Amino acid sequence: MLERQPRNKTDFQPLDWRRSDRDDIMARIAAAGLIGMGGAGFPVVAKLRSGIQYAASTIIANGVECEPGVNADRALLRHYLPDVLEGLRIAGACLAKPALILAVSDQSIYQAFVDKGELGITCRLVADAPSNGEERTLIGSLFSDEIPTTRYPSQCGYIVFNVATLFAICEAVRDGSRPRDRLVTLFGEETWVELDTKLGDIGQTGATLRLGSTATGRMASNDDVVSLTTNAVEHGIDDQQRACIHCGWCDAVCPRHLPVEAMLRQIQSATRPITLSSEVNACFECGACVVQCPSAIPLLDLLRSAKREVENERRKQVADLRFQQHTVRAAETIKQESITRSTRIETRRQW
Amino acid sequence: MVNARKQLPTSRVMLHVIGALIPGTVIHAWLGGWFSLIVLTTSLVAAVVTELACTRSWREITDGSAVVTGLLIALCLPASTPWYVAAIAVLIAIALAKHAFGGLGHNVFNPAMAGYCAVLLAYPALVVEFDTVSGATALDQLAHRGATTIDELHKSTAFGHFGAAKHEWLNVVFLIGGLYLIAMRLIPWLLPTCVLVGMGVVSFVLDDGGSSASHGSPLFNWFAGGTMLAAFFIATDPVTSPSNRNGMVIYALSLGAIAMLIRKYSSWPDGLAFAVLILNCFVPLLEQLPRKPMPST
Repeated sequence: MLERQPRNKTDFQPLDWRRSDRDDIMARIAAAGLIGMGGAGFPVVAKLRSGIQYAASTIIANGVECEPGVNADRALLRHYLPDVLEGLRIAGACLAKPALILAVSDQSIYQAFVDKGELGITCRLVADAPSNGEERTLIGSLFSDEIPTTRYPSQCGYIVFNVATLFAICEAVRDGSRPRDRLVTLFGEETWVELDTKLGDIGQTGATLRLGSTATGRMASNDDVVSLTTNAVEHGIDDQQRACIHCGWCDAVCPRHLPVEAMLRQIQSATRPITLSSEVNACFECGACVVQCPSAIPLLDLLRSAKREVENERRKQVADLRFQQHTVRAAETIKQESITRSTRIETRRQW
Repeated sequence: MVNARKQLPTSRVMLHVIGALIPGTVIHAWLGGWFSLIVLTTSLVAAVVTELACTRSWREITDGSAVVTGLLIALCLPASTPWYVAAIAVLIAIALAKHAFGGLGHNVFNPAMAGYCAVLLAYPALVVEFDTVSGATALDQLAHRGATTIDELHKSTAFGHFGAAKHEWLNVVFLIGGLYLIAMRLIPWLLPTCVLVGMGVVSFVLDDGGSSASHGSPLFNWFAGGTMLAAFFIATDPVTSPSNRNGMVIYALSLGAIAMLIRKYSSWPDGLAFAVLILNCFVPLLEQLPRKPMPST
């Protein structure tokens, strides 16, 4: 269980972060190329900078794992808790004395933390319900604070890091090593997998594969690789898509209360554009609707492509607007020039 | 660790629905005698054949929706219905009401009710006369009774302990089947409850205590005709009912109320089938009702 390839060399000089400057720590994290390992892949340094800019007062270690069949974060917390907490303290050292909070959804991990106790870090237990691990939902359940979908939590005073990210921060700063592997739920079992391993080399070839959980993952081929954001590799679901029967279960389970069924209707209809664009963008891809759908409709894949389409449409509108403004300005300039020229001719004539 | 319960696929949902209908079907067959078995067989065979003819694929038949449609029509028709009338009802239901609109998920009207109403209007004499489920006996006597008071009627053999004779037990069995579906979380509890509330309120208001114009207490109306079958198995069809909560409440309350008004003020013994079709027309409108708001953006 949890065999990890031993590291034979360090990439950097180990850093004594307690005696180091904030900028040195940030530079080290940047050099290690760390990104959020919970799934979104947001650059760690950018998040920290934004936290400094907006004077974030809370850092949350997100160990809430509520996707069906994914246990990578749990396994990390069970076996590497001290390293994760060290990573949380390092992240805390970059800000001005923030509150450090470890949020977990697993009763036994919570109990283990409480029994041991840790100075300066609070552990909070969150209900083990679908999509509770999403950062805005998590902040909502911890502090009953609602983060608007147009702002980052760091702009509202909260920084949320996945526990695997904090583990990687700890290794990069304290031990001086770049992330080279990560814990992945591999066909139902937690395993350390080297990054950039091709799925085809893991074994079980030929079968349809999914990167990520049954709910939120995407179809993958043997040539796809395990990346920093891969939390699970599973077999694809072999369930053929059927017609939507408008049962409304997707609407009922959506934690954002989005009109999933109406969005699906717009996405599937031949007559575009998608008018529910702000709703489409508000989807945080928890996959609750996919799990519920009795007709095996790949709702998440459809919503993701709709998001791209909405973004393209927005960019097109911005470009159109710019072009119009440019045309107006150009016409204005030409008009001005001709006026100046005619006045010049007039003046010359008067001479 | 799997906490998001994977919803059953459509075919398994339909299997549970069929399972919940089986006790009622057995009692229905026992009440109707051998003839009802002919209606039942014809309906089921016609449903499968029509579905195959419309989709030309074996895969579609496995979702079970056609079988449920055939079964519901068989439960609505009286045992005395000629087999060809049952076959026509199923043909209209599946070919016209379902596949002409684009197949499963695209139909506007509940297929079973559309087929049943079509033969109800085309062959009223054959379908109403000895009707066993959609009212007949007790409800039929109420609709065509002249000046008899409800107390006098209650003494007749058409009335049972609290509902219509025999059919009260059929309704009890359908109620249990419906509660099973709710317990399995396959249908929302709100919808059938609101149908019964809608019907109960209207019948309570109209019930004047037993004059010749009275149409019985809410309890009698709940356990007469096809009330429980319609409330739990027909009105809850996901395709032809609103999926948002507000729409669902309005849909179900009006369905119960309109069915009760038809029972009282029309010459048809039972109005549930018509009420379902009337409300189906409003479903696209009800889907537009405001829903729980999205968090601020």
